[in-house]
Amino acid sequence: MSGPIAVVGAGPAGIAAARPLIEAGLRVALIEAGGDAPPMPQPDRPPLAALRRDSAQSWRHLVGEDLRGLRDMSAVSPKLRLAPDPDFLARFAALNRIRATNFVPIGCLAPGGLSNVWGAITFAYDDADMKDWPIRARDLAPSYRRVSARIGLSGPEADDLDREGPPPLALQSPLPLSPLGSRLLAAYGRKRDRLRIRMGRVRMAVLSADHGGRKACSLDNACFLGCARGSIYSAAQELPAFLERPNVEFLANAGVERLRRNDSGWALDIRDRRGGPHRSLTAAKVILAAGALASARLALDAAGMSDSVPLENSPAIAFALLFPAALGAALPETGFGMAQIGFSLPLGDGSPGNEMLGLLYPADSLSPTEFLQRMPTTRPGGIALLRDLVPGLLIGLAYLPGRYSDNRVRIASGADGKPWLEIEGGRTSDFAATLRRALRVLRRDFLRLGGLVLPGSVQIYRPGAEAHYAGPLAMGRRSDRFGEIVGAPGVHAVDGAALPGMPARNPTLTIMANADRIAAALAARWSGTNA
Amino acid sequence: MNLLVTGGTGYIGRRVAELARERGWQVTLLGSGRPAGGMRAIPWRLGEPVPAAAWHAPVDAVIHLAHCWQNTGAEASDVNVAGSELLFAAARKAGVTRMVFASSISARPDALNRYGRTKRRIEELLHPGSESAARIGLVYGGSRRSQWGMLYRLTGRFPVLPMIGTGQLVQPIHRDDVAAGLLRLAAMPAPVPPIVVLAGEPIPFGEFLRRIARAIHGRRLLLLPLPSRPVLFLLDAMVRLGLPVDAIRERVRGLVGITVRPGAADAAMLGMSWRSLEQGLQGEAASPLRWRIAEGAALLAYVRGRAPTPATLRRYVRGSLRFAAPIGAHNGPVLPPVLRRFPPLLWFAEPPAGDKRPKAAALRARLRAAAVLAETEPGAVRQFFADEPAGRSRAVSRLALYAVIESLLLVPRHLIGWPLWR
Repeated sequence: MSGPIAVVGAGPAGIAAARPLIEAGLRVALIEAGGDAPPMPQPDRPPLAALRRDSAQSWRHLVGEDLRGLRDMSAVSPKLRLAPDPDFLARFAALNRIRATNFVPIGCLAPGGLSNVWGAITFAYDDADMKDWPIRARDLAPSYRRVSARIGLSGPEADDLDREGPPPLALQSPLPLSPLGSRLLAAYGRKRDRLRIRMGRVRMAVLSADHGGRKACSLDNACFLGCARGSIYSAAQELPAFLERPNVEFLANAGVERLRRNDSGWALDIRDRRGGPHRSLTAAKVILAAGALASARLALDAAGMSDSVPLENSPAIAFALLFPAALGAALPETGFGMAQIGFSLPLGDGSPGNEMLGLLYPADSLSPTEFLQRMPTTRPGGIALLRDLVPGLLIGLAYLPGRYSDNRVRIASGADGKPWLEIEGGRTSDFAATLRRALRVLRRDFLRLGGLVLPGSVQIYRPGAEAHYAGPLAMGRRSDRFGEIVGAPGVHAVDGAALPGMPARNPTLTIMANADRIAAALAARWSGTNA
Repeated sequence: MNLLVTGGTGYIGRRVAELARERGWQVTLLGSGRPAGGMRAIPWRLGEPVPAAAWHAPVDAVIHLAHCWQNTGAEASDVNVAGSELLFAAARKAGVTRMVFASSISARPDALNRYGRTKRRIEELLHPGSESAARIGLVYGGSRRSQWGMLYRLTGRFPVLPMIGTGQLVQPIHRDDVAAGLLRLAAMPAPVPPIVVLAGEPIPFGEFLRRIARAIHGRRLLLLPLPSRPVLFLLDAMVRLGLPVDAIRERVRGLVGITVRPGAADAAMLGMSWRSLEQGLQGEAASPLRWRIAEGAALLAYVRGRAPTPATLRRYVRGSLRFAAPIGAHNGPVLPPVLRRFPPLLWFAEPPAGDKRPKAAALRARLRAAAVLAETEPGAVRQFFADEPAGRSRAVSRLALYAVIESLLLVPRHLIGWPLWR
């Protein structure tokens, strides 16, 4: 091989794929459309409870020095409240030439990608999750172990959310639960046999002990304002170590427009997002990790595939869950601010993998203003109600498997003569009825656990808004089991686009493990050919 | 040039005096009001002899704007006519060669209101050739006083306004144009035309009000036209019964009996052109900062239950300028003045969550920003969070209370909110 291996995208997939290649001594050009890593919160930021209680300066942390917290991000996610503007959303679709109808295309133009704002929920998939995939769970096991040992996961060794016994993960001990969470799990333990839902503690890419230069979670409850200690994993954290390696070239602000095949491999047309000249980089091989949608555009165009292909997403809902017994209780001073408890519920035929996966977020780590916009009350009345509701409130976020989504993507020529990715979003015809039935069971089971799904609180996300995408470059269909695109030899997809389906369980860890698996195999194949 | 101005502290006169000074003229005010800083003023009332001090320095021109409204005597002996006659005589005696009298577009011997008849009688006192009457249209703009102040407030205060004469053609002219026109007339070489019209393009009175509401208050005004004759009949009856509605009747008659007089030719003769109503009103709109501050203060006070700290208000304004689109696509003030003054009234008018009309959506977006900032205020923790455990029974009873209040509020919020946020 003459040229380097181009890794397009420095998010979780790109970082996970680059590592085995770099460690094998291969020349790697890591190409990232974003520039600087998103700003970190100030390290001396007080815990959330202190921020709220006091300090004339707390607005700096809660709203941001430039007042960006005043933007209305409620349609997207409270995690994006303090996200830098506007790379996370607006520019992602435009830069990647994505046009969507009835679909919210989400991606992040920054090193670290969407792991800058994720909920850090991790699952190791079992065979039921990987039905119709050309690989089995055991193929991913070594990669799960490697990735989890590197990024640091905390959580239980085994619990009710595991279908096939303890997963192949390196684990730190779990973080302490909130009082409400402990209470709920205790109730679940007592009533488990009368319930259809299964409940447990999710494993998170959050440190409960210092690890690899990152600090353990201080339980400051301010996760939604960004993690000041780096306890929550972001792929951006791995980047500095890469840049010290002599065999790595890092191109920032580099938007890959197209891939063109030439004699030595693939020429990448790269647009400098800061307005510099276009450049072309010739790579022997290309690893696509630009995010499922961006990778799909590059690969489908490179392979000359003009037919529409399916894109799966996890249809998602949110709801408010009130525990009347906890009303009037004191708010915890400290805690982990994101979801620690998960639940699953069989759907449809009840076959393994056809299930809803839900996460329960504590309401007190969110700003009450996140809820006000959706409440039928007046603003001050809503604030007064929330003051007493929050101690007993959990926010549920639940995903359905991608088989309930019905999206298509295809390459179309835009007005600028360049290829655009057109997304047509939708859900299957049995989605509504399935969801209705699931909600009925959820209401009943939570009631047995002492919780009330608040009437009128169920919100259905717009397709795509949850950012769990799979399928357009599915392994075994539009790519081989190493993600090599049919019709574009030497181009490998390693991100969500390569997953043949999207289970309800959060995909990030599996995307990283799959990228690691593919890259490790390719590193062995290519080793010594381009060093 | 030495200029003597009567009524120089009034709505139009103050601007005339300012403008003359800006042009380097020597200005003496003759009248009873408190003069603007540094201007020479001689105390005088219409009807009194003019003090000799007025003529100590040779006066080149007199602009006579003073008008006495408190005039309960017989019309034949109206103090405005007698007083003007005294003034003109004194000026002529002092050798003043140029006189400009601020008359009205409604000046007619058979005018419906006394004001128009009086103005006409004064016009007749002028000597042709060197003395002119300026027949002025409906003046708007500048400080919110006089008739303009009333229209400004009326169009900003009520969503629905009952009004007579909505179809009557009026000729709005900006105050600054009137002032400039009067000065031009005062400086014109003889012979001057005896009557000059200072009035803009005719426009129905109702449309004028609607445009004020839209351009200045950023809102739609719904007019409820009242029939003029029955209203006048009613007012006549009330006056006969001795009720103090003379002034109202005078205004109503003025509006109903108004005449249209083309003004473009006279503007051209003066070598001037009047600004269009759009241009004129544009300059009158409160500055974007001003309404944002006023509205922000009200929204923050409503959400927080108390006045915001200056720092919070500053952040609100800064944020709303910076993120203008997310904070409301409706680009202008939303809160009517009464809600700005009494923010707690919003409890009865806050648009329900499903109201997607632009104004309602803008208000909801601004309330969201206000709530985000209210949460950062010192001490807000007690409002937003139970900082001490309330105990279950207390929490539940408080929740029940607010649930009842909120469900009772749904009715007024829909009823009041529907027309308000249209």
